[in-house]
Amino acid sequence: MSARRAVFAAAAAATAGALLLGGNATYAAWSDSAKSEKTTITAGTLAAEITQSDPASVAMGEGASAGIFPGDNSKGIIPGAQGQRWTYTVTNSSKSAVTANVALKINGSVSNATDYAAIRPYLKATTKVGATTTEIPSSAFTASGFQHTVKLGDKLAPGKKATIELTLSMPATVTNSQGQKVDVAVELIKHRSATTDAQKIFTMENSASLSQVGQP
Amino acid sequence: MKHQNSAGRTKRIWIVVAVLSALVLLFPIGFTTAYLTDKVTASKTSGGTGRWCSVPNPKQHPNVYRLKEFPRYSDAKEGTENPFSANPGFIIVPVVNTNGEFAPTDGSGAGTAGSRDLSVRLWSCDATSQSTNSSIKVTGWRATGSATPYWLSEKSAGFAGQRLDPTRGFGLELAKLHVRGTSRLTGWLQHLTGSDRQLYTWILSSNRTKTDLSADPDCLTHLCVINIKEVPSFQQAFKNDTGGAGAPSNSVEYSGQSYWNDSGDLSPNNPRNVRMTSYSGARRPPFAQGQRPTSTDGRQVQWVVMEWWGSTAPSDDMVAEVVLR
Repeated sequence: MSARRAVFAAAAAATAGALLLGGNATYAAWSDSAKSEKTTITAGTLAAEITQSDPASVAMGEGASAGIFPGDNSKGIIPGAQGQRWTYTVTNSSKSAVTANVALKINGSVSNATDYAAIRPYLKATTKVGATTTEIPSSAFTASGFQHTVKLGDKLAPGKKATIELTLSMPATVTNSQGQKVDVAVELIKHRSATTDAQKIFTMENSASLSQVGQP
Repeated sequence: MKHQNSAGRTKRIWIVVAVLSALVLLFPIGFTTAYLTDKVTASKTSGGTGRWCSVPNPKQHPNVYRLKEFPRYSDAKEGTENPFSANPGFIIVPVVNTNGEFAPTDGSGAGTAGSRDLSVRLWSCDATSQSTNSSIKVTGWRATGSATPYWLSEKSAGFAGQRLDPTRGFGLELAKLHVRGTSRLTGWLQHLTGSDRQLYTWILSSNRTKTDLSADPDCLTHLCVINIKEVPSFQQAFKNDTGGAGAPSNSVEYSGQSYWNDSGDLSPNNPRNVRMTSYSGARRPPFAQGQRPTSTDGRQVQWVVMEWWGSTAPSDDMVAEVVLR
């Protein structure tokens, strides 16, 4: 090929490339979102799935000796005695082509303002991944609800899953600003449920995010 | 030939370089590599409080006393009179107004600064132990006599954690007054006469029940005899948690009242709240054997005697909270 032909071929290739890319050469990241109990969204080559269990009652250790007497078959948080636990399973779909970092975003809103204001100073939340339990800071609980993002240390290869336990509870005893011991169960008894079902005080709409490993 | 082949290869290399360079010139200098992300949201879920009953925790509050943990007694260690024939659970606690030891556990009011009214609040959850087969009695006393005080091992630091030994010395003296009243040559009549009357604070005695919180023993004149006999059963003294309601009703408070005035004299027909001033005594617990708080003034120190007896033992949820409010 002559030098002239070489220059012409280069110009033609460049023109074709410019037409294909348009005026902006920045790539947009593919993303997608959906709301469901079990959802598979295929977005390019990264797909997330999440399952959520109904809240289960978990024993927190205190009982009669601390003056706390849970109602039979009662669901819901009982200070010192019982917490509520949700279990999430986040999966990096086998259809994905990349390993991903995982984050669980907790998004709680207020259902009953009076009860929430009463329990908020005592409300605690932890997440557990594998053998590691992490307490969510109290600053996450505001007057309008609670938000917190938990980044899991593990990376998920395609087809792998991670299980996260989210537990909400309240302690049996706290020390107030005057240095006095407060029995939380006695303090909050007016905000207990009237039935065996949990008193609906807050609502959560939690989500899981996957991001390709290496993303800054 | 060799020279022609070399030249041709060189040309091809330049062609490739030219094409690639042209393509590179089209890209902005700061182009971004794409990373993949995905987000998925679970459905809404709700949470909140469950249902429970609760009483103040004796492990956290020294002024809360679990009836089940009262020591049981069957006999005195001194003398011939035995106030423990019913094999009761029995404790005697020195109550003073200091450091907030006897503040209400739920923070429901501290009363007038510098003075507090004495009361005892009974808590319970389960109705099954609140039978008519067992009884409870709570009284308060100003210091009396010169009998030696003997102390049991303290349950916790502070006045609320001290326990007077009821089987001998000063403790036995109080136990006899509490159970049998004024001593008589021919026995006990469970009433108070003479100077014993202005030692007495009725809290849960003298006809008090949960349905009659303000009952007072009759004492119309200085000749009166004060009845200390009538006491409630568990069922009459405790309230239990009512089913179905969000707010509970499982406590009942009995105020301490007396017929003595600030001078310590009998003041008939004039029941008064036992109002305790700030403790000014120098002596603080723990007390050595033979020592007691440095005051006989009933506004400084009240000796609160709590007793239960009967065939139905108290359950874990039955506690008595001694309160200064």
